[in-house]
Amino acid sequence: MKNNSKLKGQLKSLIIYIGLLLICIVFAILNPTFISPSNLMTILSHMAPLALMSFGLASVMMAGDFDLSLVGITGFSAVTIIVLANQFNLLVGLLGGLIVAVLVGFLNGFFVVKVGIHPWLATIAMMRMTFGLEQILSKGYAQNLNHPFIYWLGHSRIGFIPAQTIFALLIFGVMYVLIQKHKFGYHLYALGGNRIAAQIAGIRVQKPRILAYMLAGVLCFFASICLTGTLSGYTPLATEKMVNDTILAVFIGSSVSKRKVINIPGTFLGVIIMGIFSNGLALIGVPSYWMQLVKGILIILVIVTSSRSEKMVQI
Amino acid sequence: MADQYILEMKNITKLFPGVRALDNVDFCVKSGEVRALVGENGAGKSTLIKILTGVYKATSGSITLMNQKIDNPDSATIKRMGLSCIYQDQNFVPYFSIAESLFMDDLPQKNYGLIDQKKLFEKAEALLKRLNINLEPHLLMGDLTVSEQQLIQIAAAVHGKASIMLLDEPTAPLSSDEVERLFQIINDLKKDGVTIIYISHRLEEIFRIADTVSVLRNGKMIDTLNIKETNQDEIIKLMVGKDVEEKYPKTKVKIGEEIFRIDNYTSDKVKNVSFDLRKGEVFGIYGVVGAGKTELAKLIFGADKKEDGRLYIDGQECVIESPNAAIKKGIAFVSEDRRKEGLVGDFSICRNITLASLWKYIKRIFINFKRERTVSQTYVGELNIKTPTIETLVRTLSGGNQQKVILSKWLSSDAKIFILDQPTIGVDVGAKTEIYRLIGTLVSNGAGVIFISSEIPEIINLTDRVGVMKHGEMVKILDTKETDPQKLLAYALKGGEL
Ligand SMILES: Nc1ncnc2c1ncn2[C@@H]1O[C@H](COP(=O)(O)OP(=O)(O)OP(=O)(O)O)[C@@H](O)[C@H]1O
Ligand SMILES: [Mg+2]
Repeated sequence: MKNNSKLKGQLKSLIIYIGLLLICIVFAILNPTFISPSNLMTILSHMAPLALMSFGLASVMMAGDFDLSLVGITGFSAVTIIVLANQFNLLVGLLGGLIVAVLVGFLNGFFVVKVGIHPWLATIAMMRMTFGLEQILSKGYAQNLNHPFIYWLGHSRIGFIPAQTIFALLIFGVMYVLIQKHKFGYHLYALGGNRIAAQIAGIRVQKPRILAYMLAGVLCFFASICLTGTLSGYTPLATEKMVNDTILAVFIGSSVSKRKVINIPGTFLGVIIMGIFSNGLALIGVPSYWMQLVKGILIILVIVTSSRSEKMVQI
Repeated sequence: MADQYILEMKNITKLFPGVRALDNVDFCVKSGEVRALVGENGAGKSTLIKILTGVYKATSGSITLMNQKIDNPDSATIKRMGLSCIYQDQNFVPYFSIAESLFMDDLPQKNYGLIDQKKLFEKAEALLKRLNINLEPHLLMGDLTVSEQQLIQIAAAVHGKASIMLLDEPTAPLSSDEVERLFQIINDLKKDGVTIIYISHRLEEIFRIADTVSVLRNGKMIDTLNIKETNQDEIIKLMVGKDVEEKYPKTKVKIGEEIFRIDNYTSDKVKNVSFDLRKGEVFGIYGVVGAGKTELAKLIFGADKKEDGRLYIDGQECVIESPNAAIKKGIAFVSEDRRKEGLVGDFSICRNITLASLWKYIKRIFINFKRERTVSQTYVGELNIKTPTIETLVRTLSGGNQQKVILSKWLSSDAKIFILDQPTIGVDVGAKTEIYRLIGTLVSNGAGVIFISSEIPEIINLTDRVGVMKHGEMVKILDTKETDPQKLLAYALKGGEL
């Protein structure tokens, strides 16, 4: 009896992987290119910017806040990098990109935490502003950047894994430690779980939340480098459509965790799922006007199954 | 003289919109003293504490703590000065483990701020063991019962080296043996010279542990007395401003036919419970903590999953698998965990009271606001809910007044069977009596009341019969007239035949 139910529990916690595998098999049968090594690598490299932005969103949301402007920050940072790199050099460009990303992150934090504007309002406004700046800087034209390092990041592999995937994995490692093992992450969890309880325990209510917004800015900066690499430049508003995927990745992540909390490994899993869906659906030739519907249905399936199979992520 | 005060609060005034919560209050405590603070619901006790710990800012007044003037206290600084507090409104992170919650303020760390998980759990285990709390440190706070959550919050408050401990109704969610454990802890603190400020509505507790007692009424400090030179009646009189005649009014009602019965009700926490309830009857359920009283109530109400058993209402078998079904069958449930289950904090008092029976106030498709207001006004008056208007948001009421709102909500519904789980916890003496009286009104109108309590005097004085529970079983059903406190306790502890 006991053994049986334990087995059942384990099966249940694997169900999302099994489901994912099944979907992949369907994709592969409908279009064998799906499992060709080069396509798998494409999926992996496309995932990097999404993963980085989602980690940022996860940190902000853990503390009970929200950020819709991340895609805007990434685009703004990318254009800043390119414009400055073309005018001066790459180092200046990167520095500029980092500064604007962190600055916008800080402003988000300032308006939400210090001024007390609702996170949705403040960050939607910021999303508009960053998209606006991005277009002003680029005058609406696609921007090119020819630099060996950027090209290398976007197009080469270390072993057989895309360079930017390795980069994203490294950041994943850092974020995992920072959020799941470090005092900082613990404070964010406390603030998100019960702000008054956190305050009473002597945890600062404002500083960690502003830092989380700034951290999200830094992650967007990283995402913008990867994106610039893949595109060898940047097309204005390229990130606009990614906003939903970041939110979904974070929620899938929380629904698979044991405690039902937002977390980094779960978010990563969510990003992988979103990546596979986008790529697979495009490859099997779902007509473009069916795409949204099919994707929506798949997402609901994922969320339903994952929320029934807790304990997948031991956090 | 003055320099031996460890805490001096002078001329403290606190205004909330429409409410003068504190009015020029002086509150000074000597080092090593155990000071009780009493007063009716809404008198301003919690507000005073929260001003001290920096949760609220006083409108005017000055605070001197350990000879240091504190101008703009914030919680973190106050805590570092050695002031530890257990608040009335339980505050915890539901998805934190016990270990994480215990050491929220000082996590064991390795280099670079990484959390030392191993040490954290070792420390937690040691602390739980020292305080005799039998819980696994990895359990999540949200999965604990209210009293377990409270024990953990007490443990979290005492683990550090506090020189002043503030306890705002710490015993409200606790059962009698847990209260004993808390007193043990308080006595140890006392021996270590810790100054204690203790708020409670249970006066017998105050006489057991306090040296002095301060009485607040309507935001004003009325008096501070030496505990040896006073008695319960005098304190009550100071609190209320007048004498309280009868403490346990019981309405005589003729008991009629059976209206409710369960047979062999069983879940994972409740075993084979059978009892019946008659029209006009108050059926008490008594037991120590963990006896399964609340679990049984939730099971009957359809909030927990039933494994076996039958339920009859008016002799007809009913299947109740959700609270909604229970309400439709005329069962009302005042939950023990009121904060979580009972209130919509951002609704007005009025809307909260009528929430469970809103359909009664709907004419065609419109809510009859006038009737809604009249009914709410009646309860606000009867239970003496202290509030500027009935449009006030429930969130801003004092703890005890919030409880009264929840009670009103169920009492104003049309139910025939009332399950009241510890309905008098945290309400002041006057309101307790009022609640007892309301129970009397309910039964004389033909309802039946299942009255769950771990306070023996209530059970003895108010019920007609009492079922004693232990380990999820109902070990004995007694006629209240033929029993006494010793017998009840004996059944609750030993179970079965004596
Ligand atoms: N945040 C708030 N906003 C508005 N009014 C408030 C707020 N907190 C408390 N009050 C009001 O201040 C008064 C005193 O409340 P307080 O919580 O100090 O009472 P209390 O003595 O602790 O009562 P109880 O025994 O019920 O806990 C009440 O009238 C309450 O409605
Ligand atoms: Mg209070």
